[in-house]
Amino acid sequence: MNNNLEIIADYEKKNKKVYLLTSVLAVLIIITVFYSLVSGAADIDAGELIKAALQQKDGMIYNIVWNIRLPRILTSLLAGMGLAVSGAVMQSILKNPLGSPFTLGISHAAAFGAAFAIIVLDFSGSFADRVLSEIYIPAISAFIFSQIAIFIVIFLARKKSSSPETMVLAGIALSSLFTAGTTALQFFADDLELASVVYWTFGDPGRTSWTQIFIITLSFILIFIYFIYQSWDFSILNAGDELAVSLGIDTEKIRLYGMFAASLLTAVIISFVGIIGFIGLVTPHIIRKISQSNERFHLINSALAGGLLLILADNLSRTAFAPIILPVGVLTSFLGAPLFIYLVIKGRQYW
Amino acid sequence: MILNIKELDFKYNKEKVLKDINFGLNKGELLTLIGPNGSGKSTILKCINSYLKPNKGNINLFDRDINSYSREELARMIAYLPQKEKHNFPLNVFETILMGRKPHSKWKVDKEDKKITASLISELGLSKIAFKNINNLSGGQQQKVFIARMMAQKPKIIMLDEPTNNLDLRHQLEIFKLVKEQTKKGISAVITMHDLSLVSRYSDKIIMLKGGKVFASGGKDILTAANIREVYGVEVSLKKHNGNMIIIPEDTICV
Repeated sequence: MNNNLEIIADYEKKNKKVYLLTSVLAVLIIITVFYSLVSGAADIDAGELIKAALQQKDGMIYNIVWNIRLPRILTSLLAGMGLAVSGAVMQSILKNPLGSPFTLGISHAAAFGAAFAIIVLDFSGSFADRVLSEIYIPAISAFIFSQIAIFIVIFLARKKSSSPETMVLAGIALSSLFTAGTTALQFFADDLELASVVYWTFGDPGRTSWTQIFIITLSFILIFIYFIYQSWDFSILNAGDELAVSLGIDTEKIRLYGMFAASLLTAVIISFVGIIGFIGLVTPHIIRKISQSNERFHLINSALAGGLLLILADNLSRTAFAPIILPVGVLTSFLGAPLFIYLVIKGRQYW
Repeated sequence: MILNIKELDFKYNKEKVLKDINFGLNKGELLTLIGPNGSGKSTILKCINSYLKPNKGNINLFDRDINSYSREELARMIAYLPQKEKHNFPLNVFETILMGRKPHSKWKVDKEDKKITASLISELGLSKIAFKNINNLSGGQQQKVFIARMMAQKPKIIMLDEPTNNLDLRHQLEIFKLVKEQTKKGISAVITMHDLSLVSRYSDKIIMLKGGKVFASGGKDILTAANIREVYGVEVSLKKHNGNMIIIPEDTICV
């Protein structure tokens, strides 16, 4: 009996270490957000910042904080969190360390959608343009096409009882298809359109409006709650379908809904922010490397770490070549690719 | 009879894998399914687990068709250990056993779950490895952990698909004894096996399958040289040793 209590105590101790990581990440996020608010092309000191935050007035500092920096930081935070948690969920339910919005063709489909809207559809000055100007038409098109990609992946997977392999392979096939489509569209585009397409593909958290941030926040919160609620199921799926069924899990349903939710969140983020590579793929692996935890805390910690990483990366991209602002998507890919190769070589068991 | 299988047919890509399977399982009984590779042993387990849907026939559990139970209700009655279990993102032993509590605790682990897990860990002598990564354990230890997970489900029936494959001699015996102990507590067990000597030593009931059909069923007495020759295509001699039967393969024969 005593022995049992000891085992439970050890289990709680292990969990405490995981909670500690969660708190450290949360504190780091708060510090980084504050740091990002005061640092940048225009120097603002902390006192002025607080004054600006509290005064409901116009003014340069007020403008920089409320209209430039804060939206940018919040977008980075939410996009990083959303992409990382989606990547983590995709990896779990596909039982595949390569699961991410990139490998499943969602990013490429979104890029195609944006290119399609910019090059083929011309809404400028029309009724639709005025109504939807706030949400921005390429974003809607990107969202629609990424949903089409997801539905094709899920449809193909259903034909083969939603096996993870089918989803990954279908995703890879779709990626090349949409990349080919984007290239073809670009071939027929004029210089201006080409520039906007290229600009769109660079992920940049500085382009979101408050309405868009609100939409991202809402989808993140709802989908994150769903993920946390289902996290135990996700981790059992990862031990194999036969076992999951014997533990009372409707494997097909959980996998389809989980994939759908993860893709939806990714699509919302990519549509507004553009393509930000590697955060979704690498962050869950970093978290697995530094802490062994159950799925629930793996998802929470991956989300926090993703947010933190993207804010840091965005800071770097703003300041490294100041006053030129490098798109953060370029930076994450530059940093993410070698990091990913390092993780592969360092070798965890699943490679 | 707690489990009753009647006229079960299963087709895979139009090929009949199971043909007219009939058998029953009593409380506390250890039933072994034997037969060559591909004779349909695992398929039967997968049908009972409702992972596969049979094309014909029914499976009754406590006098009700298994399709009338929800997945969770089934999971609280039948625990299953598949032949292969691969963890791409491995958990530790404690978390793995805790999985067995899933059918009882919707989405969150509670105190009771932790208690049951801890007591199974001490009961099976796994305390020293309780927080080790499941993928770093030996095959025998892994199998014990998986059996503990089945026990955490608090089931009425446990099903194990070739649980002693790839295990050393000591672990083969340990696993079999462990299962036998459970049956003494009133849990019924269905096992698929290849080691006929172990089968004859521990089974209460044996079903011999050949080409998806029941070739013979009954007690240990169905393990005759003639039956084994017919089903496996191997000439064997049977020896008695300390009251246990030992089956010695002599040579393969042309069928």
